Amino acid sequence: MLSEKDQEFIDKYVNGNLSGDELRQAEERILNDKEFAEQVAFTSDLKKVIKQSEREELKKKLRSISVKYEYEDAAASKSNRKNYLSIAATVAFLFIATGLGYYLGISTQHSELANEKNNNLKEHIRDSIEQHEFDSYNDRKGFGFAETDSTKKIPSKISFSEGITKGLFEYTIVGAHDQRVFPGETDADGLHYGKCIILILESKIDSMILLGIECGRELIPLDSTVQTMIITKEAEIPLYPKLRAATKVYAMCGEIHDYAPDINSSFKYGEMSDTNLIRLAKIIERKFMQNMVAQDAIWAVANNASIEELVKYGADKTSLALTRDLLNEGGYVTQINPRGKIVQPAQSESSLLEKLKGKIEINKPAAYLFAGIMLGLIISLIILLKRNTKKPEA
Amino acid sequence: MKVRRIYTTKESVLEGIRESDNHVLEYLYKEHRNMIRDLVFKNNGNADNADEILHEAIIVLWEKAKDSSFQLTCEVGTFIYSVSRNKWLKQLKQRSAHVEFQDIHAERFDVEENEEEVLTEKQNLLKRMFEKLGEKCRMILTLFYFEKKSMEQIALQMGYTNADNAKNQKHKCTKRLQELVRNN
Repeated sequence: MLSEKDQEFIDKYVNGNLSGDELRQAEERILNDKEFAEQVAFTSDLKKVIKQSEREELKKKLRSISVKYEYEDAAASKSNRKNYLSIAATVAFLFIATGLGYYLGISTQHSELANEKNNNLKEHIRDSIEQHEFDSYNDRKGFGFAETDSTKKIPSKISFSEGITKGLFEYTIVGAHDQRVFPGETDADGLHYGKCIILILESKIDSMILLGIECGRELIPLDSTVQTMIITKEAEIPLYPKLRAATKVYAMCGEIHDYAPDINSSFKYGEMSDTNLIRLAKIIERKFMQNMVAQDAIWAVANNASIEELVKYGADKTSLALTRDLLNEGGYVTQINPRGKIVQPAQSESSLLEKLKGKIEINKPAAYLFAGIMLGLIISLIILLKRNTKKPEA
Repeated sequence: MKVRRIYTTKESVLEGIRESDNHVLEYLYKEHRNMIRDLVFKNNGNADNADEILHEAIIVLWEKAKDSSFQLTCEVGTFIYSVSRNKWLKQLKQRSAHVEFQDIHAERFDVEENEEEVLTEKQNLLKRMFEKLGEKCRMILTLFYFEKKSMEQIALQMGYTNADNAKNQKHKCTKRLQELVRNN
């Protein structure tokens, strides 16, 4: 049986960190000790395999970057076409308008009316040219960011917290859910998780910057009865000079018993969360699990939430199983997955689910009874009405 | 407080790679895309060929830079150009015996390339089992064998209290992987 020390020795050998006597010793053991030789082969295979799977991972990432740029190329060429069209339209308009103006100028022999009309037209033309310039400026601005290739200007990237300390912008963070728009909404997408946080930023500087927000950053509510939020997807937000803009970011709730964020709850940009939660947030980001399953996992880790509590907030057998998978994958042990392994539904959960089922079955006969009574009432009402209508005839 | 790196020097690029920053991937792609397209278009290739070649060149740089002893003695652009050029020339030669190659840059750098490794059947099984391992195990083994991080660094990055804990965890993961291989 090889010891851990042996494995360390093998790791050094495989990573090429041995020399002199040690190297000779290792080579000798490979020749004479079969178990040692097998472990060396396994370790060097493992190294190769990891390299290969890293390579595949990188290729995947690069391919998605390529796709992004292709898409932006296509968008840019489309906008160029739009530009040409609007230039052509402006030129045609200028041509016709000048001709018209000239004609009007001659035919009415410098009458005041003609002058006024002419001026109106000139103004109109000037306006339309300005409008065109403004449009194309907008287009340039919109796609300028994508086309940094041609301009070679990369806007500087700054972390959000750095931007705050340097006073580069003013910010407001609020929940995205608006009671006035969807009163009484209980579906948690956009409430507890998803793009449930709005950032409103106002630039105070003259250059464009990119603001980076890390996955795992905490947002602290100004009202302590509201949940602390945790960012679950890294975001990079372009901030245009002297402009005010709003955007939404992905986040999840970190305190099961407090209120969900809404448009009236403001937040302060906080510190990074603890490493345990950051790691979970990163797994969620990588799997793009911006849903209830992952939200339940966050509650299980951050608040040690029980199955009953999660069921109360909408979890069911299927979602709990997925939450459990997620927790197991991250190596977390919580009340939801007490042994850190895939386990059969706990006693409490299955009995709870049974109870729920029972409740629904009890309701069934009551519903039939209710329907029967209603039917009887309607029939007797019809009979009564018929009698009433017959009387005047008699 | 940390400012997100702006990739202007080759040192910052190499550091970005060592920290596995995804932004550096995008930067490398964006920065060299037009150059490699020019090269491949001039030599009987299309945009897909150019992308594939550039991806491979970036991966070569990535793998080399992970080794902390690696020194880049030329500019990043020259490195990417040289690797891409060699790779495309090799592909063209495979297509036909006679190739007229047109360079777009005179400056080149001799790079010994990573050989494209083909896995044996046994290694493929190991790879499948490796992918079955939990996130944590894959991460710790990758950090150790691929990124060549020390146990102290791994403990810090993955939130273990000390290097010994990380070492234990790695040991457990290796054992688990061996078990998986044995049972399949």
